[in-house]
Amino acid sequence: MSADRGDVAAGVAEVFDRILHVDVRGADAGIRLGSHPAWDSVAHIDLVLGIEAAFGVSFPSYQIAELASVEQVQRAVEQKLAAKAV
Amino acid sequence: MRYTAELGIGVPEALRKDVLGKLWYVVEGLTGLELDAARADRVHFELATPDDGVAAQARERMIEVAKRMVAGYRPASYRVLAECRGAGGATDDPHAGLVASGDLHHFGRGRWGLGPVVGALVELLESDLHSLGLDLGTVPHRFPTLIGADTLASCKYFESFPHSLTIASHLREDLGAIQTFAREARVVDGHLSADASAFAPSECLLSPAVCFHLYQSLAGSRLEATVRARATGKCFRYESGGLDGLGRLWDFTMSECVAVGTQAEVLAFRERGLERSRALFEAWGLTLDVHTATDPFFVDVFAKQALFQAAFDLKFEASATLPYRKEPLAIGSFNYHQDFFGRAFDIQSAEGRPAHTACVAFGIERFVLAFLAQHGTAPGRWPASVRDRWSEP
Repeated sequence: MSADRGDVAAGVAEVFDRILHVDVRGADAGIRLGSHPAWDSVAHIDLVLGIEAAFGVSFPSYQIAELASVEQVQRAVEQKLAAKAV
Repeated sequence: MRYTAELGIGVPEALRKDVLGKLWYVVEGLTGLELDAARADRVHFELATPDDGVAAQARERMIEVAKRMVAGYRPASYRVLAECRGAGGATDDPHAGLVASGDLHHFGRGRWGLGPVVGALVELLESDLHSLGLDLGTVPHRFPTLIGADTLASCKYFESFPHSLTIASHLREDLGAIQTFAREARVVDGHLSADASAFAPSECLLSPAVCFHLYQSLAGSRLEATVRARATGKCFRYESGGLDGLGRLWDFTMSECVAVGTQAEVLAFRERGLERSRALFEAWGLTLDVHTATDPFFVDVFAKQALFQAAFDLKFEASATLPYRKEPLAIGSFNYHQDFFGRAFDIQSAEGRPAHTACVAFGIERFVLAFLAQHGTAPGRWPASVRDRWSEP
């Protein structure tokens, strides 16, 4: 997957929808880890594993708890993909 | 006969202990299991009864276990939270000497009895842990050794640690079956030999931890304030070929201090417990590190659960140096479970949300083993803080 921001945003939204069943491009745009019943810490691990599989990236364990908003997830994926492209 | 399994995947150094611990469970009768000293993708083993078919099955399953556990692995953010450096000068494994002096009794795999010197050390330690519990504001509890299957199911223990369960049963209320058992039950090669149909379905297991009963006792309640409890009890974890003296018992003693309340309160409790425990470790002159850690989850859930614990800093372990061997020994842990048990047992905090829980736990026999391994078995060489309170049994 390319590091195009639109592609990343769409891909991230697809994973949120598939794993957590939330619409982060619509009604659930502002959700954060722990702020929505579907996004608790257990589901968060499934979400991160889903993001990793979708984009072919891997986050170190210390970074996983910091991926606490849709924006933070998107930014982290962009940075990983950019680092891979170098 | 020695067999070799090519795992097809290198086991990272940080995972060697976890993977090896699970390989014991692939088939019955494994002995001499060890990872190759030079190659991380190779394992050697023997079988109590050599059989090429069983060996082939063992190889196949070892490959599956290694692949599943290594696949989800990523380098953990290993952090040391506290260091204690005692002045112990011992180097020998104390087991043989303690057995010779009558201070340890070996009854069977994972089953050891404590004689006068070790028993008296345990009493001293339990006295110190009682003080620690008081400092943490805990109140005493006593729980059964048996734990309901329903309680463990609520804790999702069957999914997470099925390999280490110890299942209890009794004879069915059936006069004929009981009479047949009384007539025919024998011990063959160290195992009870009897008609299995005489055994009742298992309502209970032997408890693998102390704190689960506390959560069950609070089920369905709304707490007015944080519950702080302490309890000591026997715990049971079957470790197969990993059973190893006082360092890895099937039947061991755990002392726990537990908090149930709001997130902020239980995290503060764990922090205070860590701080207070450090003073305890120093008083006993122990050399150890307190570091981030994960539990030995079963193969099928290992990668995800270990990642979950690591990602949220849920588990810290106190690992003591054992001078007679390379691997350190975990003698205590500082655990935060988020609201897992609050949800599992429908416990509400004073805020009206699922309660959070934390516990500070010590393995009594392991703690004493670490002390004896570091300081030796002669009281004259022990740190003054222990020696001065020691009375010859």
